[in-house]
Amino acid sequence: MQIVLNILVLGSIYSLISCGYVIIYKVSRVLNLAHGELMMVGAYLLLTTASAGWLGSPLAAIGLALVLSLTVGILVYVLLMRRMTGESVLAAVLTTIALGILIRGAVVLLWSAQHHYPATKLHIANPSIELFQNAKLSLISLILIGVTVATYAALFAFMRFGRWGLRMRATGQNALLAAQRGVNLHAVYALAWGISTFTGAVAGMLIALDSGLDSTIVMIGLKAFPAALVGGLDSLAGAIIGSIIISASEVILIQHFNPLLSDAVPFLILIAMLVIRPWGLFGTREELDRV
Amino acid sequence: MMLKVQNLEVLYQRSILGVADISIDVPKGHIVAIIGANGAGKSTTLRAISGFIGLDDARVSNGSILFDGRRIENRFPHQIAHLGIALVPERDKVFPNLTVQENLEIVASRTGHAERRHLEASIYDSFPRLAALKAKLAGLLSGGERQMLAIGSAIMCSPTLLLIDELSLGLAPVIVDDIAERLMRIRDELRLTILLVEQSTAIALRMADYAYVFENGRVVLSGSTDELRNDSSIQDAYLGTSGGEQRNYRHVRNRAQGPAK
Amino acid sequence: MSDQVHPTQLSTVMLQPASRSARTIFVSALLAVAIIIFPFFATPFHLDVANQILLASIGALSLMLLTGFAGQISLGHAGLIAAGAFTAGILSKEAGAPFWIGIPAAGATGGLLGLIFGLPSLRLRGVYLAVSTLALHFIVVYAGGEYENLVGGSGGILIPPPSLWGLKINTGKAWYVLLVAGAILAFLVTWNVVRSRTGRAFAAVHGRETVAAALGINVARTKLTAFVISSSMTAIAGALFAYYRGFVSIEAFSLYLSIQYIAMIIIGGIGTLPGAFLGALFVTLLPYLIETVVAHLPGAQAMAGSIFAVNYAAFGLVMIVFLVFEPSGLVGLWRRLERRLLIGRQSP
Ligand SMILES: Nc1ncnc2c1ncn2[C@@H]1O[C@H](COP(=O)(O)OP(=O)(O)OP(=O)(O)O)[C@@H](O)[C@H]1O
Ligand SMILES: [Mg+2]
Repeated sequence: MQIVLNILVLGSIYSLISCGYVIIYKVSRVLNLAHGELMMVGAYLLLTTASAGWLGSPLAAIGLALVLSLTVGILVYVLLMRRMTGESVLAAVLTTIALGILIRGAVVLLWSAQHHYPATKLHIANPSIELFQNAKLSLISLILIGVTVATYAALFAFMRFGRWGLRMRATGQNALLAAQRGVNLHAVYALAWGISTFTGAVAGMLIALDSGLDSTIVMIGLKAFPAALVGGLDSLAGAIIGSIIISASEVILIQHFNPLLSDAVPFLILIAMLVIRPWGLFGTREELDRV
Repeated sequence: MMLKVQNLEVLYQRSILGVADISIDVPKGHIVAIIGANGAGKSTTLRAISGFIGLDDARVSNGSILFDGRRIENRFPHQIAHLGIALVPERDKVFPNLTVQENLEIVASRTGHAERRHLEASIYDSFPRLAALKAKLAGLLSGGERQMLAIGSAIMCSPTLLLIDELSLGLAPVIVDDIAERLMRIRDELRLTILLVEQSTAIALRMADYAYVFENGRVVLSGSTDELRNDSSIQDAYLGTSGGEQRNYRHVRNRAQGPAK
Repeated sequence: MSDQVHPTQLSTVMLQPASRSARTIFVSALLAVAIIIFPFFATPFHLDVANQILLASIGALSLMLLTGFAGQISLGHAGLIAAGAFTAGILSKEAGAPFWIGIPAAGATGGLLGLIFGLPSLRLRGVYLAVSTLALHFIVVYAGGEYENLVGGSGGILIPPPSLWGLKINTGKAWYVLLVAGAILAFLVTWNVVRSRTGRAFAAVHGRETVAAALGINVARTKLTAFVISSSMTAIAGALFAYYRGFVSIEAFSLYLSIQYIAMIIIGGIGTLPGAFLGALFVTLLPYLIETVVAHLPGAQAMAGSIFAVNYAAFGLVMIVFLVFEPSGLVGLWRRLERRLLIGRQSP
């Protein structure tokens, strides 16, 4: 039973992160390899707001950090990625890689390389809860699962029924036509970067609250990428399925075979997927030819 | 003059000439047609008017485009759409993974809610076929239905100037006639000005008041459709009424000027 | 969408001819003299830096061939370097194999891995290809870590200094001579490949695959050839690195290393061979430059403790600046300056 819970928690983490890859890719065909780093920025922003005494409650600290993360995501587009729209796919990907490296350095300079515990700063207790016999879960993991479900529900509703969600879908299909129909592409792309960073930051914050924070968190972000690709880079539903597949194989293999596999398993699965069905389980096949 | 294009030159990828030197005038309330062979630069002209995005890697490198006296060359397409110019593109004219209804809703129009409802109603009114297909994915529509939807979604932009690239492309003559007729009705209702690109000279000359003939990115001939209909060089080149003679407009080039102001 | 041409790609086409002028010969001669007299004046520290630059140049040349000329992006360069280093290390440790076996063996391993790394490219393009090489990087690194675990927890393999024709190569100067020769050899190989039929096929595949196929070019074979040649060279660079350090550990081959090599070819100028050298020079020197600045800048000492973070940040920033403002790299910058100077001289 414990193993199922572990898979569920890890799967939620990956889902919450991988939807960020999907949103940006779906809307702009840019693969954001700085997503892990942006997620880390969100977590560190929480560290800062947690230290700000004047905020009063932990919820206010989290709320402010979330607003800041959204702003960071929008700024990344407005200040940097906007210049790369219309450039080759290669140039855009390389720019995100460079951004990731820049963020990694800047985070250590701003917040030091120490291991931090934002939960203690916020006086949030994280007790273990016994859900079933011999199967425990930390409170924050439980919240994480709930938040993931809520986030996806909101995202699906937004993409399906929201006016901007519709614009995002349309832009992803045919940016030129969307622009000709009066849609401001820069606004759509900036929004995609904002939402993506926002959801990433939610994941980063919850991970940091659960198990502390240092720069190794980016590796979790990078491992969520295979999850997005396995599900199909342009499919939100796929991101969930991909995350479950990756987390299940990771948890099972680590427990029964070799902990060292942890970092390699997601990428082994990714390679397998690229060989069998490169556009992912739920992705659209045409994607392959568009890049 | 509603639209005035002067000495337009467009470069693709900073080096490939799309059009070399195009000057056209579109007076308010008229229908003006552009005809010409493949690769003459008709689509490029319309797309230059409606705006390029970064992915096109194209820009107006010379000349000017004036809309209601305002210069609009090299602006973003959404800004141009908000000024009241809407394009029905030659290819990729609908969003295939959106439903018919969503294809109309996506439009970020420059008008209020009431006006939108009114436009939507008159589109479904003019194209009842679309009303029956509201919930269907646009990617599954037939060519004719797609063209109707494309016209509809352009009209949702509440334009004053409608640009149409190849109304008849790939459609059966009966369908073309039907769509053209409905288009003319909407045009009268909304008092639209239309700039029309056509492969089929017959259709262009029938619908338009004035026409330009493009060749190799230049205007080689222009005149009122009545004049052109009786022009032997047009007949040779495009209507195929007399022999397969080489196109040569040199003798009429001095007539290439704008329509009456 | 697939037909978009980034300026970095255009430069491939535009900058290739027009060499071999008197100026080029003059610059080359000057460079040759500098390279020859350098070891007589250099301190051991300077020699070490020079050797690192030369090692990086070989790796950068091979990535330039693959990405800059054949247009196949790879994020797995560090994995291939690791593979070469480990081949040399393991052969030396387990079988006591000498240098002249270790190097070709590394080349063979690299070629084989290149074939594997290249297979996805038959089906995938752009981002998807980049991702597949990224995945292979992690798998190679995992295998390396697994090996280290197997042979004992300490991690890392010690390699005795190599000897060639009875000469032990264990001084900075000896290495300098060897690596200059190696870099020249690597340059000649890439230069010849680029100018050969294969190289023209690379350019065609880089441009548009469908067009290349229509011209009768075997796209699949061309891509695999690019991967194999490039990977083989990369692995040899990795083996040289292992011998030079006298030690291999998987720690050294992080994703960051792959990114550094990509940075080299971008900063140097994609699609140009001199760009590989300039990029290697720049990227290798940057940390030393930063260290100097941090040491001398008042107030910056506070950052001395996290100098690696300063390096990361600076490095990311430089990469972004080049990608956004000078996509044709140092070579492009140089050519622009040159043109401006020439024009300035023509109009007195
Ligand atoms: N995206 C592009 N990149 C480069 N060149 C282009 C591009 N689009 C068009 N061209 C070139 O510009 C010129 C004009 O093309 P355009 O599409 O405007 O012709 P057209 O008159 O619409 O032809 P058709 O009747 O076939 O639609 C052609 O030579 C074409 O090759
Ligand atoms: Mg056309």
